[in-house]
Amino acid sequence: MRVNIKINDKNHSIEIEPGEMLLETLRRLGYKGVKHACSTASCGACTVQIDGKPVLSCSTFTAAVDGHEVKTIEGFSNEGVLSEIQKAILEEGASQCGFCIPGLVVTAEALLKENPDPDQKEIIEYLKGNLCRCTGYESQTRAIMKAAKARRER
Amino acid sequence: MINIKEYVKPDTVQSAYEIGQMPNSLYVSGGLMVSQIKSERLERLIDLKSLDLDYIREEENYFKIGANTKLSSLISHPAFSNLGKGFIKESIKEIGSVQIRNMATVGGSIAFRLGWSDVITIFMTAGSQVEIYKGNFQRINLEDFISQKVKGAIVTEITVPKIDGKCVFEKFAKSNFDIATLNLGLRVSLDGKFVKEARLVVGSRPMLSQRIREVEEFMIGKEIDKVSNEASELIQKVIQTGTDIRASAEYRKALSGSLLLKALRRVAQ
Ligand SMILES: Cc1cc2nc3c(=O)[nH]c(=O)nc-3n(C[C@H](O)[C@H](O)[C@H](O)COP(=O)(O)OP(=O)(O)OC[C@H]3O[C@@H](n4cnc5c(N)ncnc54)[C@H](O)[C@@H]3O)c2cc1C
Ligand code: FES
Ligand code: FES
Repeated sequence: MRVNIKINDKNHSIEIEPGEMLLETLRRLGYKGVKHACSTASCGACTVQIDGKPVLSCSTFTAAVDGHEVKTIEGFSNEGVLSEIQKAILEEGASQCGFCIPGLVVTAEALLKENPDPDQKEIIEYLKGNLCRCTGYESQTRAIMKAAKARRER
Repeated sequence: MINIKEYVKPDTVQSAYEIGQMPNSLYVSGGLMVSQIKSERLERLIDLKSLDLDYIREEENYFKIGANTKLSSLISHPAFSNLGKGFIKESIKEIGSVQIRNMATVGGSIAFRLGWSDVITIFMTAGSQVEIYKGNFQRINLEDFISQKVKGAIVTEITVPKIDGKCVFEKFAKSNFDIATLNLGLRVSLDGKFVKEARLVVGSRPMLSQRIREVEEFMIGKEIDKVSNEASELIQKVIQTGTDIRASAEYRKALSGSLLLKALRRVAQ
């Protein structure tokens, strides 16, 4: 079946299998920043935004996204220039193996849009679906607070 | 990927229901659970998102929630989220993560009849009704809906009465992202210090959510700040629980006493 999806501001008209998952479609199209981990809606590594809201692409049928807008991690940096969140993650040492980072950044972008000045508790609550096996979350929380401040002062 | 032949998006409840009667067909709303299905027989998914069932409408005595409403919309709706003095907002926030709440729908959560569903416990505590379509529209209590297996029916709407009295939700889980080992909802209306009406629902026993009527009846007419200990003992005697990977039946019984104690303290405040 054919679907029309806008991905990172670019229109795509794509032939898909009816039972295909958005994660598979995105990676096939080259959006490899979207990570494949648990496949059971449990880890957050595959998070993308649909119409501005973070969702799990491993558990979203591509057919259901026909006519909608998808934003992946690739859509948040500007021609190779890192976003404030990505920069702060580097500066705070909040990425070790890096596997969880694309999903984390996509979720954190939605948080800062909804709430430009989140406190530590609000960050932990919003990001509880983005599991990280390496960092222990403290540096990630710090990075998001730093990015929020940079964005408010921009 | 799940191996199916077609993914259809009907735009009326009637046509969705007709397609739903064809063998090896399954409705899909948020898709969180359907995407996990590993069935060789499944041929067709019927997406319910084009049925115009994504709404929250406030009427004089109740709210009407379309079955396709996302759990996140329940939290962001100013009037509905404050129902029961913030009961809805606080309790729905206990479910999954931001991503899960942006995907899971009210209809999918109820229709799946999961034993560990917080959604069912929360809506049963509020005294909700379900509208279903199976050839015609019918309205039944949520409590009756989950105990019957209405094959092929489409859940179209939930009606939630405006709650007077106090309402609290307690969930015990091994982490703040895990499903409940036990969940409990309590709604109490008071006449001065005395309990006038009570509704007590316990879910993830691990069986389906159930009202604990013996304890409800026991509390009526008693002083709210003096009933806690006896009610907590009684629930442990009367509740039916089971053993699974998360906890034993005995553990769940003890837990029901603790969660009720906590809930009653919050209600009495
Ligand atoms: C990682 C994870 C954590 C979770 N944590 C919690 C939690 O803490 N608490 C909690 O309560 N829940 C939790 N859930 C469950 C989540 O709320 C369910 O995914 C949700 O209940 C299913 O909603 P859905 O819209 O995605 O349904 P779908 O997956 O689309 O459908 C589920 C079932 O219902 C049927 N169906 C769907 N819509 C209708 C309808 N309108 N009428 C009739 N049948 C229908 C489908 O055919 C299917 O059988 C969790 C789920 C996941 C994956
Ligand atoms: S891969 Fe989607 S949540 Fe883990
Ligand atoms: S940095 Fe390795 S999982 Fe998060």
